[in-house]
Amino acid sequence: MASLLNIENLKTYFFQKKHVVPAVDGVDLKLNKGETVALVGESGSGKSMTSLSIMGLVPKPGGEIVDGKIMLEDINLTELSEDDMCKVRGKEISMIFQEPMTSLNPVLTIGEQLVEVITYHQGVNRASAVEKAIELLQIVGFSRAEEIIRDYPHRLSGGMRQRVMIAMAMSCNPKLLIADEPTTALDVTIQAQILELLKNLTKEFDTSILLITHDLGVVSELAERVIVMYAGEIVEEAPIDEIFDEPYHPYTEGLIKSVPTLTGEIERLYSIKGNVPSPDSLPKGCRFASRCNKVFGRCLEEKPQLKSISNSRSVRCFLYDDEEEVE
Amino acid sequence: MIAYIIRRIILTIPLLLGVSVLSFGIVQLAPGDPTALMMDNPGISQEDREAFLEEQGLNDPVHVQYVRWLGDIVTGDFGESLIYQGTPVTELIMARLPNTLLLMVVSALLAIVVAIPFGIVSARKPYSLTDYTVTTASFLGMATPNFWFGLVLIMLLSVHLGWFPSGGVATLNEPFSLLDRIHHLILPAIVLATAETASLTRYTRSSMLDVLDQDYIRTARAKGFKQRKVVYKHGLRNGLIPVLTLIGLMLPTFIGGSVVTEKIFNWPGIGLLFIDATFQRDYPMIMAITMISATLVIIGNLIADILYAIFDPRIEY
Repeated sequence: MASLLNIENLKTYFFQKKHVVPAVDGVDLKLNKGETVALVGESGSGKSMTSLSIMGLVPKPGGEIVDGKIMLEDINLTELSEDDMCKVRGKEISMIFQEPMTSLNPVLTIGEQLVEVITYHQGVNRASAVEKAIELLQIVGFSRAEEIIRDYPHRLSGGMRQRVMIAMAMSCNPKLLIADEPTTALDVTIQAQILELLKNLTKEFDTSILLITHDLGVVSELAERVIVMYAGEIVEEAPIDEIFDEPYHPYTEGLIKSVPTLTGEIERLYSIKGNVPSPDSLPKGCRFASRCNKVFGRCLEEKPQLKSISNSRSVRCFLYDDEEEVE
Repeated sequence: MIAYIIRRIILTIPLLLGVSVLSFGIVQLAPGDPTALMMDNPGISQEDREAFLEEQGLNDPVHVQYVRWLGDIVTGDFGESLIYQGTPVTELIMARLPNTLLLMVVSALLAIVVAIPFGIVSARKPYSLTDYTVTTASFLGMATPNFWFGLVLIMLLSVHLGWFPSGGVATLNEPFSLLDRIHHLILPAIVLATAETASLTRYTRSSMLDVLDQDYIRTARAKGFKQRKVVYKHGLRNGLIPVLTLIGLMLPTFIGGSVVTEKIFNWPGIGLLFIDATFQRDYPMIMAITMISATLVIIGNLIADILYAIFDPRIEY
């Protein structure tokens, strides 16, 4: 499969008055054409900052990509000027956000918000952009699309607004769609509909998805591959059908165990003790050591490296250090 | 919308009635009466005074006077001035109201035109040198009393440098000239606008800062729009909604400020008329000007509310 996005050693740091916060600290990530990859982790693990780095929307002043390459096919996005990046955003790469309720501009009509992005990137006239907007709204499931384009966002429910966001994101047939917790703010039945919609659209438009989430249920629904992040680093990478049955990293294991199941009779839901260490006071050794239930001496002294276990799996943990490339 | 405006206009009637009761009462509570100054004239005797008070009905109890006044108002009669005897109050006011309105409108436009761009520039680069400069200037503007600022400007620009006339609306004994009128208008307009410009700048800045941090701004950036388009198309309209309210509420401050400014620049407007009327206890004049001011304030509020509904589709009346 041809590779679409290739991130190498991405480092996005925040420069504060007294210290430097490594929000993303050496991330390598590959995404193939038409593939859906989930980036999983707790709040503060750096997953959202990774996605904003790809979009070139790292909050400024303070945030900066200090090292690494982000290759979209054969263009290095980190080297593009702001003007050139504007031509990529919304066209080659588009993004949908966690909060559909506040992500649409309240004073512009739905139609205007769709039309402006179509005319901007595709250089078509207004009339054909309106036509395209109606068509897109129908694709994302609005039956009264001609009326919806004249409505303002406050008239729509959260689920409907997220559909509008998706229509907007798909309007220029992007190669990559970054979905940052697209269903977190929606209730469960709407979540399922939105996920189904994303699934169908990626097939129809042949778009790759980078799914940012902490919801493993969403992951199993949509993703083909899972990348687990912790404290700015990737700690595990695995295909979807293997990670739930056989997680390698103790952190991944903890994440999976903390999801309630329908069948298991569990008295108390598992939780990983403690919090993600603050990025400005990271330990010398493994960043997960203080919360790990399999911690041993070496973890506190030395930093583990991300290590390939097979051609589809890798993990950053000393437990797997002796297993030299099995298979 | 039309129904709403009509409802609002009907509601102003009890409001104006309340204002009239209060101000009528307060004016009567002030010591002295219109005859106090007349008594300086040796040609006027105590008997003349008594006769005047009786003739004007000023010896009647307050509520009787009020009802009589109200009855006249309803028929559109604001009464005659007690000082400029025999001249209807409305005639005196109408001769001067255009001057005041001109000063107020020019100052308001000046405040808006200066404050909004500076507020936006400040918000786009918060905590930059530009922002600090604008912020410092705003605080200075808010802290400077306008009577003092007016006197300083007169001293520097009129007396020492001679760039501007120190008062009046036009040069005396000269034919009407637009340039001359503008020349006279500049200093009073600046003085009247200063405080409002300052607070409007601060308000625009904080409103825009708030808006530029919103999720939909991030969405607009994610669409690939350049920063300029993001700020002006997606930010500005949202950021100006709360500023509109402030502009509507600016009117009362301008009316209060114009009283002081007109006095300093000897600007023949109703502010000056009002001060003189107050000192001389010219009751009909005080009441008429108060009622006009109250009506202007109410209109300002109504305009703010209507603009609000036009700019913000979420508001429906």
